[in-house]
Amino acid sequence: MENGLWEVLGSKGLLKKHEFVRILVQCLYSLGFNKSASCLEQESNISCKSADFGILEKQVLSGNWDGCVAVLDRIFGDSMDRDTRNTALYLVLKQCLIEYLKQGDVSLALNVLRKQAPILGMCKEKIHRLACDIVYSKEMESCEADSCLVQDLRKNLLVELEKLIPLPIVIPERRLEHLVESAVLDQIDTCLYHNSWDAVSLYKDHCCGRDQIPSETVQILMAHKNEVWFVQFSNSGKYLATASSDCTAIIWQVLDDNKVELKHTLESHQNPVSFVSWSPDDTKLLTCGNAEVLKLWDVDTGVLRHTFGNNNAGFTVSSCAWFPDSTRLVCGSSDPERGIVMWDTDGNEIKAWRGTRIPKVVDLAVTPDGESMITVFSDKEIRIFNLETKVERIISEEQPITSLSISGDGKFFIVNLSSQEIHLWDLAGEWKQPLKFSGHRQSKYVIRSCFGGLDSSFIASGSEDSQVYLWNLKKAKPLEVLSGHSMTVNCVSWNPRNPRMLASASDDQTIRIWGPGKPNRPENRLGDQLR
Amino acid sequence: MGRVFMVDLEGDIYICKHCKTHLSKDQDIISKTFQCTHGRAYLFNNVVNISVGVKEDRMMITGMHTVVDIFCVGCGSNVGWKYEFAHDKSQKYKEGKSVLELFKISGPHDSNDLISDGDDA
Repeated sequence: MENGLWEVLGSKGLLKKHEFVRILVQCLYSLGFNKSASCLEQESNISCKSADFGILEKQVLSGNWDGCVAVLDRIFGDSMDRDTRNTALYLVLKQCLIEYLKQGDVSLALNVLRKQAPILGMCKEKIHRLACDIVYSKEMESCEADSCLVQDLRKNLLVELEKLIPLPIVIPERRLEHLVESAVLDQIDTCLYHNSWDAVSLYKDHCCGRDQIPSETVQILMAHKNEVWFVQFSNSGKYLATASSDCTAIIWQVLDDNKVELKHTLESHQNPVSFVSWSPDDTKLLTCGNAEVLKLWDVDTGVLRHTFGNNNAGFTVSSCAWFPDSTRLVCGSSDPERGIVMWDTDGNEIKAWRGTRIPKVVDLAVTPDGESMITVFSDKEIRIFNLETKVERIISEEQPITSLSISGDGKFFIVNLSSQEIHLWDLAGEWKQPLKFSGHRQSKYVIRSCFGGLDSSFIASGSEDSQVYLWNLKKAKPLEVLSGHSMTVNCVSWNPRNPRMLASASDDQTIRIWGPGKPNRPENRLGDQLR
Repeated sequence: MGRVFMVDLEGDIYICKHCKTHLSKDQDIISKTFQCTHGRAYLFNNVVNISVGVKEDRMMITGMHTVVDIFCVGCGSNVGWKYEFAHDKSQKYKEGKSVLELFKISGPHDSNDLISDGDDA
């Protein structure tokens, strides 16, 4: 061939030039550039449609069934795939019979059937089924042999046949697009900072930088009069709740420009508040503390709606969680006797788990679909209880667990261990070992972590060295370490609706809001990638 | 200082005299014959809810040891020390174990043992 179409392309000589040109032609056709496509076909002498397929197409569209069968026989040749060949011939036979019957040519149809059935190896049962299929089919309903209808049916047949014909006579649709997208997806896979589903540029190999994740302080919130122990964004990402050892909780509002301002200060607790939980519809907030009772607040007005139990009865609640209906909630007690109790928002007890099997509850969570409840018992045991099937799964960690957090899709959860590791487990229970993350400092205090970013592909955690640590799930060592706080960072929360917004709560009495950082300098990028 | 994380122990336990934080269990006692400047002390296999101080080399009755002071996480009082490294082969069994001073803890022990031939502070 003159322009060397049997050449290979690519730096390693793995790509065949004639295949490359053929998928280019296919691409031009699929983009609608028919003139350019046929021009390229002429110039390169490679056509998108193979010769055999061209012949088949002609036979089908003109209703030349014998010719059609001949081409198919040649195409399938001595291919081992008898089943696919037979399926193709079956489809042709069916179309042929339908057409003859519509024309009213019953005897002709029967002749064809008698001749073809043994060739196709069709048993009596199959013949009967074919007959039923045809007689009852949609195509037979209209009375006239409309030529337009017949052409449409033939085109449909061609489409069905295309699916059965082997490579390289027919190539998959949009092949070039698929190959480019695969390459881009692979690049995204190794991009550790990747945090958005925006289209990426094809002009250079994809690699995101620090500007994709929260890495700079954009706001410092000062309102608490003592250490801030807990922070969490609402499910809508429009509010933020913080809890402090100053015995109050504060609801903040996230404005349109991502600035945060104080909305309500919730005062009623007599002891430090260490945990809050947003109802799934964000209209209610629960607050509780290690030595405190559980209180329910209305988010809009900041008014206290209900107090569960009372301090004299010693019903102290260490953590709580909501069910998807926003009316049922469950709480775990730090008192070994009180167990786990399910309430409704009016204060009625619905269900309780008490007794010797229920030790002190360190932390508690409910999956977003309301099906499973995960409880961390003092001090190394995680129990996953399916509320529907009543099946319980137990994971025993080797070191004490200080906190628990579930991913947004409810498929994974992380626990912070006082051995300075964060363990990631899957809810389904298929993993034998957890994924482990480390780098932060934790030995004395309860440090909390959370999932965040696009598709929960990141983890953030507080640390006793006053920094915030960020990991990409693909790497065990931290991706970024954020400095700013002057004392232990107790808790972090990633905005579920804004992958570039993170909040952290610290013993220095402030809450920091973190936003997108400045892009990496090119020299610093070498260490970013997985390869 | 942050929300202190405390572990709870079951059974016969020893707790910090000041703040009642759980420290160890009766089952974890290895030896009851230790001495410190304030009097008797027990050697425990495992102690919880403590934070550690700086490593120090100390000369004791039984020889040179590298130890760290241990403090209750609840109130910060120095409740004893932990053996990190023993220079003498015969003392190796102490490595990784902790001594709690009876003066600093409450528990099911009898406080009328006065005689000892164990280690010193």
